[in-house]
Amino acid sequence: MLAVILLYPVSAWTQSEPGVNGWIDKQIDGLLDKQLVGQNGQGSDKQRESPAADSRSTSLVDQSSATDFFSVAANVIPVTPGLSQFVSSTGSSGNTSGAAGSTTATASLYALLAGLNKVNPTDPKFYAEHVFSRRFSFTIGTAASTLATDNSDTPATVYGAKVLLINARELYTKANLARIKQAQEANANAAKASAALKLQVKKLIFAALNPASVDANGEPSDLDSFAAFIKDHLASDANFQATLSSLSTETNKRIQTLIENSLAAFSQERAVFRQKYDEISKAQQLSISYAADIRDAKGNNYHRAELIFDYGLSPRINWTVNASADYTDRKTSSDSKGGRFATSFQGNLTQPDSAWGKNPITLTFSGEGRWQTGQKPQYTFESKLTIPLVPGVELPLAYRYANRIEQINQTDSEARMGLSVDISRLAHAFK
Amino acid sequence: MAVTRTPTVENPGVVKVATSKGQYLHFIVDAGGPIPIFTFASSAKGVLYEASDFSGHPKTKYEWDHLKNPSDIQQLDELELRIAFLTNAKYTCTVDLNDDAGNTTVVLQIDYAGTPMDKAPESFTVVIQ
Repeated sequence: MLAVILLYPVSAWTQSEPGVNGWIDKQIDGLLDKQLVGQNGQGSDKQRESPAADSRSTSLVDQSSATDFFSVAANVIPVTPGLSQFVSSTGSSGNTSGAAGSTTATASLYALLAGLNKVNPTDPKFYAEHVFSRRFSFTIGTAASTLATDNSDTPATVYGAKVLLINARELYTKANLARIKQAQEANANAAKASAALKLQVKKLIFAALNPASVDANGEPSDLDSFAAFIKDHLASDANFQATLSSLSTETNKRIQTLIENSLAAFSQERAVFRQKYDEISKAQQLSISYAADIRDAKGNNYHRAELIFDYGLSPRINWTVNASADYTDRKTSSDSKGGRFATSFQGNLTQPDSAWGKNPITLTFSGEGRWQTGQKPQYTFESKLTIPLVPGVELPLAYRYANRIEQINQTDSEARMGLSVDISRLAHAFK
Repeated sequence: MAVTRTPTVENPGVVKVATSKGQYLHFIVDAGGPIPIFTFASSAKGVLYEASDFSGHPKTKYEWDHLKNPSDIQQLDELELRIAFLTNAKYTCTVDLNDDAGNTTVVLQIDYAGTPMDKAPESFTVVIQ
């Protein structure tokens, strides 16, 4: 559920009630928008794709946190020949047939506990009581194999585990609970100001159109008439528009003045929410992970132990760094050992349509350097566009370029397409 | 993006409450989690409740009565329930008009779904009879 706060934009909206109340809310938003100097965006830090250790993944760089609940990723096709046509360290050229796909499923320990307890994972009480379990996630799946690259054509089993060591984006940390308390206080001040303002505006309009029904102080003298006026002339959009157009310029000016004089509480509410959102969504995350592709007795096994760091450069741009130790266990030739460093910048190009709606379109630029025993350094770059199809379903399209023949056969680049499904989000869309 | 507001029973804008006949308002806020943020405020008395005032907060259901206690009664009071989505994406707000005889009328019932920077104020005027 932390995704809710991390995946969504900072542009402020106040949903309109019908009639005069909604009109006042829109006036307030309009005035506050004019005060807005810049617009922030949102972070994108949840990995829904296969681990980068899976050579068929559309993700070159791993992110520190996985889904809060449960997700499935399929790396459908390398749409052009390239990286998956691996050439072994002995230099023999690979047979490329059947090297395409992998499918993995990732679940958090929290999601498993919620399932075992038959509790809705968004239940606030359960969520609050199981903070620690959201630090752990597990991945399992399969990855295609080829004789040339993996010394076996039997699909590998993909295993993965991730532990969030530092999770400053967790809502239930002491610091974030204090931030939420400040947001609640700002909300309370705005509610108080809003209630007072709306009643003042209603009375002003009533007095302007029914001067005989108010006392010397402008207060309605006949409460039933006032109630009927609200119901018939202010409560619905259609009736209020007719009422608004019948008001004099002077009355309109007085209403605008009332609204402008009340802006401080609403401005503060918006500022506090933006600040707290930024502080939480841009916080640091550090995790360790292990991922492996395990094959049959003859096939190569790949192991990766990794340190992953995420930091929100802005609410729309997330920066990720990976440092890993890689080990290739070959049964028929010498093993490879080495290190890997990778980094990526993920930016959101659009804003989502609702909390449980489609995620934004994201553009990611990644770079990776690998240094393996018996091989020259390998450098890979990737740009990726992730397109949400429906809530919970995304289509990552990646273009990858690498410098070394050890990684690329025949061509220096490859385009890949995948599919990732966030089961929780998808299920929510069909509720 | 804007809040999705789906009324089952639309806000009437004004509610007449015959407190002398034992009528009062019963508010229910159902929250999806993880941490609801909302305020119940009155034009006459200011902030009456915040989400964090309720025991067991955060939780899935918040309920309270208004106008049952004589000290709540204010003529021409504007009541506002202002919900925020910073740490809670979905709410359902229900207001019932109850009386001591056990009769209940739903005054408003509205579902909301929003994103972190969204707010959804819902207010109406109370006329005491």
